[in-house]
Amino acid sequence: MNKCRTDAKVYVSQNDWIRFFLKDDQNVFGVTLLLMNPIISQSWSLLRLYWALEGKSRQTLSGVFLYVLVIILVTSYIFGAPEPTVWMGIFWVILLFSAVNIGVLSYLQETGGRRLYYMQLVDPLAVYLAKSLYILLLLLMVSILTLLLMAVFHGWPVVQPVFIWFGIGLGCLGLALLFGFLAAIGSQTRSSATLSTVISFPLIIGLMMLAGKIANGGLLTGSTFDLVKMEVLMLVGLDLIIGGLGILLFTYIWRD
Amino acid sequence: MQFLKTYGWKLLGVLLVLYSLIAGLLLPLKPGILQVGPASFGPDTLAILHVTGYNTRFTQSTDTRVWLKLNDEFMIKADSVSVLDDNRIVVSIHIPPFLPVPEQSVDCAIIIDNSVDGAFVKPSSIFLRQDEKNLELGFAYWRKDRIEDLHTGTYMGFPYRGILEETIRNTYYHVPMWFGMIFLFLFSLFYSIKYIRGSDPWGAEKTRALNKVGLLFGILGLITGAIWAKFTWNAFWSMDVKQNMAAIATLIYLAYFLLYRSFEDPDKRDRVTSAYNIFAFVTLIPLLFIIPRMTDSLHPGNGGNPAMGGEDLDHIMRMVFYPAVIGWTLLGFWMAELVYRIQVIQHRISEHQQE
Repeated sequence: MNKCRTDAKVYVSQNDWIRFFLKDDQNVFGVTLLLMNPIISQSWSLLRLYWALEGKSRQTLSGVFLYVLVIILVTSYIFGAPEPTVWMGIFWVILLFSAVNIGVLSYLQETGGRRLYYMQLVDPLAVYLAKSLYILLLLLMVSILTLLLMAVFHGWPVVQPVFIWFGIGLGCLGLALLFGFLAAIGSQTRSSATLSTVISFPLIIGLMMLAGKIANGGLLTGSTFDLVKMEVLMLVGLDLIIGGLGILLFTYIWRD
Repeated sequence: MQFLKTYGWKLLGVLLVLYSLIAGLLLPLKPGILQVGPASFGPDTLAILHVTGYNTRFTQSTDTRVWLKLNDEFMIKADSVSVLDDNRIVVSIHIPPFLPVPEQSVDCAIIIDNSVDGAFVKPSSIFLRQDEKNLELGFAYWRKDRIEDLHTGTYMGFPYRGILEETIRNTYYHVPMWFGMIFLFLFSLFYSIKYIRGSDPWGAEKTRALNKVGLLFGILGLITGAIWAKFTWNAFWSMDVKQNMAAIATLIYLAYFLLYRSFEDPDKRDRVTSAYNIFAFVTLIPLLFIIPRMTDSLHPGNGGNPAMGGEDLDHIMRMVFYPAVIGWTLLGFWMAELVYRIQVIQHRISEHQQE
């Protein structure tokens, strides 16, 4: 990873930007400049590693997809075509539990030797950023899949999808940043899965309330953006707070 | 001087708590109107009202006056008042044939004033109706009397409010629990930060002690609130947003203790729980201070204001409320200090046993 940084220095000093973009093997859609920062380059590599590992085993995604499918089938058996607010409730519950599963599984995979290896090799901050991005990526995929399946089995009561995308985007960002931190805490204890769930649920409620309120705007034809302006601002603030705290505190829970 | 520094604040805490207990429980309520009947009258009738007062002393004064008040502009005075005993009077009022407003029916407040009890009021206690409208005559009837020369009363006490009644005293025991809890959690945040930065090796133990007492305060606040809610809102738990958020806050700190117990290595445990404590407190702030303001609540002071508004807390209540807040907070810190010292002794004993 240091190679990238030194390379960058050399290229910048030569002022040869075209070569810089062409030569770097880590250049993917123009993020090369950002990769000059060691932490971002490390987290980018880690994210690609996580993604490659997931692509190989498909352990997390297949597990969560199966879980989503089962819940949707069971709820459609119970509710049929539910009321719009119930529909929204089912969606957020599915997303919440998927987030827990993804967070716990992502840290469960790396125990013992592999974890020690990461600790020596990369900055803890890079681990946190990569984990959160990875969880965010999987969560977005799961939420799109959930929406598709729910449209098939539960109907589609959404009138203005823009609100749903806003709610999902900001909500998933907060969930990913939160579980990147809390699942790391849980993974250090004896009963990691249960503990991650228990310590994170009370902290999630505020996030879920705000995201749910924004998304609920999509159920009415007359709702405008002004109606949920406060919630959007607060959710952005909450995401920033959670992310900032995670960045500040992750070092202390990661090192041994 | 050293004595004052070590014991002064504990002594002050105990004295303030004792003061708030004695003053808060022994001072009587100010007079109020418990019941007025019958509650509804037609136009142009002689209304005979049976008024039951609470903490009133009607027999001690001879100048009791009663008004029926529609709003600040329109009111009528009672023709005669006869006192039955300290708490009961019978009032006769001639209800005019027309109301000064175009509505078919209105509700009036009843105001009683005398030199011993002072003036007191029961809003929306009498309903009046009219069959035909005549605003001109209505104005003439309702503008005849004025409310003037109100007395302030001769003895002090807490305000009497409908629904709340004697439970208004719970203000001094329920609300300080939340203040104490927030202060204790703030200090636990402070010591967590100190521990994590490495400037206080005992910071994690202090955090744990402060969290124990803070959690106790939180649970006591929930219990006192639930009992109060049973008397005023008619249910122990009515899914009020502040009740829910308070329950979540206690859950977060219960999770802290669960996390604390699931580690074997004490060094790692202290570091991780301190980090969780900082994380938990900061994410708790929107739950306790922002979300309740956005949603409707049964709690007083709703709609963006904290519950310290002028109407809810008069100057006599303030004289008990603020000392109670300070006293209970200081008592909480004393308890936390004792808990911390017990923890240190336990730590030393376990170290000694290992050797």
